Amino acid sequence: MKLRHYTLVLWIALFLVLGEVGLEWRANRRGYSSILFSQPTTEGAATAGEYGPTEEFPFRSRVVPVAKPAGTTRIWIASASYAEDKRFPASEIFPVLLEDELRARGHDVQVLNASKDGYSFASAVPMLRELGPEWRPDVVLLYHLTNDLDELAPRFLSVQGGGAPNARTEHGEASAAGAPANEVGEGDEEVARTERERPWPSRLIEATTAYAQAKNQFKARLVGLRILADELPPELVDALDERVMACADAARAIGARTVLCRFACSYPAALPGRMPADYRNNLYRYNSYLSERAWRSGVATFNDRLLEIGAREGLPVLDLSSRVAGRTALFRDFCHLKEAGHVEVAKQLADLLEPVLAERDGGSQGGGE
Amino acid sequence: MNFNSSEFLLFLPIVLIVCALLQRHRSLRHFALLVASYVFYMAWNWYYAGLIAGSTLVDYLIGRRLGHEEDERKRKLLLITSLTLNLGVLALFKYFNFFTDSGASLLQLVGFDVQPFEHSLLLPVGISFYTFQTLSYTIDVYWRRLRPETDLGKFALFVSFFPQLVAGPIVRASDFLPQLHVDVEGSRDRVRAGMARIFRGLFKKIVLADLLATFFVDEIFAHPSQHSSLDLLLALYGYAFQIYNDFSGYSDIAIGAAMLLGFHIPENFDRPYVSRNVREFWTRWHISLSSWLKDYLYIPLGGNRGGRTTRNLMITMGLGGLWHGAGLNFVLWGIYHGLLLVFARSSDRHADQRAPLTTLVRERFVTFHLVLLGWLLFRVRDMAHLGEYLTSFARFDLGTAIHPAAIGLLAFAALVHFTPRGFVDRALERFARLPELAQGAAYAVSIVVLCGLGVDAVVFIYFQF
Repeated sequence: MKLRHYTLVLWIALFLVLGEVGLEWRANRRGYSSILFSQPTTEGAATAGEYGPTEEFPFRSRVVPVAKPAGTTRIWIASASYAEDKRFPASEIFPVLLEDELRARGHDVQVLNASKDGYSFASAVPMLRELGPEWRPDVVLLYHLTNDLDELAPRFLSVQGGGAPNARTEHGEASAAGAPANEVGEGDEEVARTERERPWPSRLIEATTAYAQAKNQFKARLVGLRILADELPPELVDALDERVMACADAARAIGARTVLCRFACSYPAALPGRMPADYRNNLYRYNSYLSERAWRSGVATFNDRLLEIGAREGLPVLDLSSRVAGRTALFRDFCHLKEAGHVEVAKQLADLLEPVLAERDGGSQGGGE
Repeated sequence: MNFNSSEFLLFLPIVLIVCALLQRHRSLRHFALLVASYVFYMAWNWYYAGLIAGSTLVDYLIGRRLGHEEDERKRKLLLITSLTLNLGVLALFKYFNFFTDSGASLLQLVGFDVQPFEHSLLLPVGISFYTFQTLSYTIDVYWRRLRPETDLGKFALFVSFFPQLVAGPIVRASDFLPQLHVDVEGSRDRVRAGMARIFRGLFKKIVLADLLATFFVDEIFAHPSQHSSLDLLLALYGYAFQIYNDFSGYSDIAIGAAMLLGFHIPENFDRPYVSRNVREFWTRWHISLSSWLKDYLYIPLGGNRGGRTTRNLMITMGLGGLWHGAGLNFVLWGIYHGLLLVFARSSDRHADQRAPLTTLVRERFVTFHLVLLGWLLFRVRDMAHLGEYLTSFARFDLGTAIHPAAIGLLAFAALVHFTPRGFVDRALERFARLPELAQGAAYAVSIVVLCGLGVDAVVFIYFQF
């Protein structure tokens, strides 16, 4: 075969490239970054340099030096897109507003917002291990759930294949599905390693706007047609427990106090009726295994488990859920906040953290932790 | 590397361009294809590529010796060496645990306290396919049906040619090696035909097989006791079309990719569910395996001569079942088909398609449902799972948890399968007459749509065999 015989292949490649450039241009005009067109940061010129992340300061919060002033309490917020929330300038997201609120109440605090889009309890651990010793947080506030559910549900609910017994081992599923809870930690590292080792062509293609658009258009609609699980398997809740404890251990190893936070969503299980269709579609974009009912009841189950963990391990549990969950005006989807939501969550968290900070101040006066 | 993966989307055009640039240098082109084939395989697991290389070298050397050797005893010894090594590796990776488990269970039954010894080696992808491919070469050379290949590079390419390396079709050396000794006559029409074939395969895999699996088949088979009899039945129908579209989709992509590279590899499927009896079914389903089993096992056993047809059929189909997987369910599936073939011996395997419509429909209906029953044995994990399925089915309750759109997809898959071939061919011909520009645009849109439809990265079912 000669090169000139492959003109069809070249036409396909040309249309794909042109389509991608067009979609990226459109996405850029709408304010999104893409492979070809980067989007200017949402930070205004006035705030440039005031907020991270920067090369020296890897957190999306107000920049502070590494050295911690005496008497200052550092609060490390380990969360995901709901706390990183790049839709808003850093000055408007709840971790920064929380710092403002606590300072206004007379607390000498610094907030390190270690939240990243797509992060989970599992990814919080290596970040704590890597950056924690240098930044020396006093309190580690854990606020995760959705990405853990997205990661764990396929492992505990995946029902692929059948047939040959070798198949599951061959494709590396044996270490995940049905693994005892005490082995989940190793499984997590396996997942993280697999993600890092994914070949660059996959990462490149999945970073294209055409791919993202195609997924947006189809995935949620298709997931809605599946037979989805209506409740979380107990093993999955145990795995979440393991993940929370791994974070608590990592925090303890750097001398920080872990604070758990019950997860708040716009449509908790107690709220009657279904989510709006666009919320549900957004939920299904990330989660292919749990029905809306399972997801909502799963949040409640997880929040109950957090109370158990708190009682079992002597860790404070902030009940953010009872204060903001179900207040749909605060949310823009099933879990992400609107501008007013960030303000409200910051206030509520400040209230909830008061006893923790008071206890800490009392402890410090008596010689520190 | 999966055909339905992002890597393959970049890998294939790169290979095509490299081969086109080396068009005037046949040896270099073959070398590039060999490297590409190993890269393709090593994307899954690099160290198991050594197994293919080892198998290639052994059979190449034995083939050459067989070509020179006149002493029949030594020739037989060489053949036995090849069979032992190839089947030994296959047995170690694929069947060792099955047989030690079964042996231990038998000993436990008669009162011995024996714990089975198991290894935890991964099953090399495609080992059953390339083992049969190299075996056919050695046997053909032994039977003097084929002259041994003298060029190690060409032989290595025959064994590892990436389009059919991991899930067939099982290509005979007599079909493939001669293609390496002539210059490829390329054309744009060939590229168009190859591309159409690839997209047909991707459509079968991503739209039909994977969506049927993820919508309801996998979930219902995972928890049979939680579903109604109606859903269990629909899941079985769904699985019949899932496995056909999954495997024939893979074969379509393999055949199409080979066409783009200027090679011909044989057809593997021919609308199997329109068969009027089970004999005909086996001329339409996994054709490369059934013809392999016929030529290298059934006929050497004596075929239908000497009044041992039943025995030979049962051995052939039993081993054919075991080829698919090391599990009792696969052996039973093979034996079940062996029995069906024994009962269907009087049938014509090329049944007259001009029979009255009622006869045609009745025979196809019966054959399809006999095959469907076999798929139940094929799909279950083990006998306990089969028991759970049958017990749940025996409740005979109705009601369905399957989304109506998913049932619509099942009906669509059936419609696509049973649509007369002439109708499909005419539609494809009309598409092939479109300007290349329009075809290119259609394929580009299809790629994006297929990316969106791929809900989960589902591997091909036959990768596990």
